[in-house]
Amino acid sequence: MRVQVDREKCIGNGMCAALAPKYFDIDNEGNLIILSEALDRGDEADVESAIVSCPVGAIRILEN
Amino acid sequence: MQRTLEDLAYVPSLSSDWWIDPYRNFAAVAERDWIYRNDKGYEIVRYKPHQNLLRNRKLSQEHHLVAERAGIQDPDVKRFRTSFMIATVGDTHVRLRSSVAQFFGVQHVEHIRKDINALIHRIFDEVETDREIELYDTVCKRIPALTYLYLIGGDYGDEDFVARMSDSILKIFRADLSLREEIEGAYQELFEYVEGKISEREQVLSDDFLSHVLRQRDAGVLTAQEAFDMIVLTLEASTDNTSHQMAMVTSVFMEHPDQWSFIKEHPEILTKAVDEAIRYRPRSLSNSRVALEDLEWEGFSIPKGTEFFLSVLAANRDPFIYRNPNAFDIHREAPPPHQMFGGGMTVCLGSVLARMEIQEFFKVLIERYPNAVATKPTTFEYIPPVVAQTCGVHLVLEP
Repeated sequence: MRVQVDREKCIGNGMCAALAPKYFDIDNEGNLIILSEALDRGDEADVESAIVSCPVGAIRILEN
Repeated sequence: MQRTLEDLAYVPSLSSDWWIDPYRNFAAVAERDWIYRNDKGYEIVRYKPHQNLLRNRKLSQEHHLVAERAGIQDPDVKRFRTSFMIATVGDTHVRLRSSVAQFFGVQHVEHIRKDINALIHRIFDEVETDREIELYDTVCKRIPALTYLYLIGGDYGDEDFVARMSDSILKIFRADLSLREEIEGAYQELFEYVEGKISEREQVLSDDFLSHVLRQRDAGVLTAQEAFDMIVLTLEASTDNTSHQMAMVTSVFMEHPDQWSFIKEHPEILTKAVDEAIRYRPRSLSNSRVALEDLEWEGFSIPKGTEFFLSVLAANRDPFIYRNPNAFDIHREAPPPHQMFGGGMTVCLGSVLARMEIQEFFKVLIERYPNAVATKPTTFEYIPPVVAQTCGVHLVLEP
């Protein structure tokens, strides 16, 4: 499974980086950095929490 | 190119004259430059640098001066205003925000949509439809008040109390020393009310917002004080802006009868149409940012404490971003997001909820009163640099 972000929607809020820091980071200019696209087993809850907390609904998980 | 802030041209964007025709004034200055000096700081009049400053983590919202400018002396109110989520920065802000972000996220707001729809029906049930009504006071104003009571599992009979608290507390933004006692008194009443609600809810948690916050407290994510502050904050953050924006969107729809007819025939376009109306006529006039440290940005050396006024009116009608920006057009293809709810770390936490309330308001209006018409043109009041509002929206629901 892969993590995907719609960059047109992203507003740099950073909830994802707070809730799933292994996968997301935000730089000082507020740009989103995806640290890892491949979702590891056991991290589903963190990424799910980032997905439901994103204020613009920009994150999703793609099945392989 | 290195430029200095001192060299920038001046615009009187905080004077009342400017707000007689703000769209024309912003458009005129935006043709020559994207940043100006105003009387208190710097005015940004284009979309891209506006978006850029909203996201930049070396700046944040200027909030701690609000209580000071209103002359607040009550120590409880002072404490609240300087430690609630909006006044925090950095890691504390992220922790407080992430503790409730899920509740206000897209998925959960979808989950409560039908309940909000039922609340709006309940309000319309009480409206007398055989005469002209003023929509803001009769309907719009009531929706966020009842929504707040829904969020905290309160008694809908407390609606007038909630509305009164909201009215008095928001006067803090007027920076008028003569209003101090009214504001402090309202806060004390609200503090007591929220304390009561917390003790009640503690007995049996449910799936409402208050229970969510108490679970965060019990899990050690929030302190008891932070949980309390979050419930108090949710009142002032959820009321006025939502109801005024709702009235403003109504005025836009009524001024464009062809597009309003299209919306009524194709209600699936409401999400897009509401956002286009917010772009066209936003409640918030300006986003604010203050530099948290000295920084270099776009060729400028910016000292810590510099204040920026990011014009929402100008960004939302930037001709480099929106083709034919002064036209209201619900058929725009994939328009970039407007700046009404801010952005970056401090984007409006309730933006998904506010949009949903506005969408559901129109769904109910279309379902019950598809022939509603305005009886006179809506006029507006600007309260610069923060907000705009209608001076009433007059409708006949069943002509």
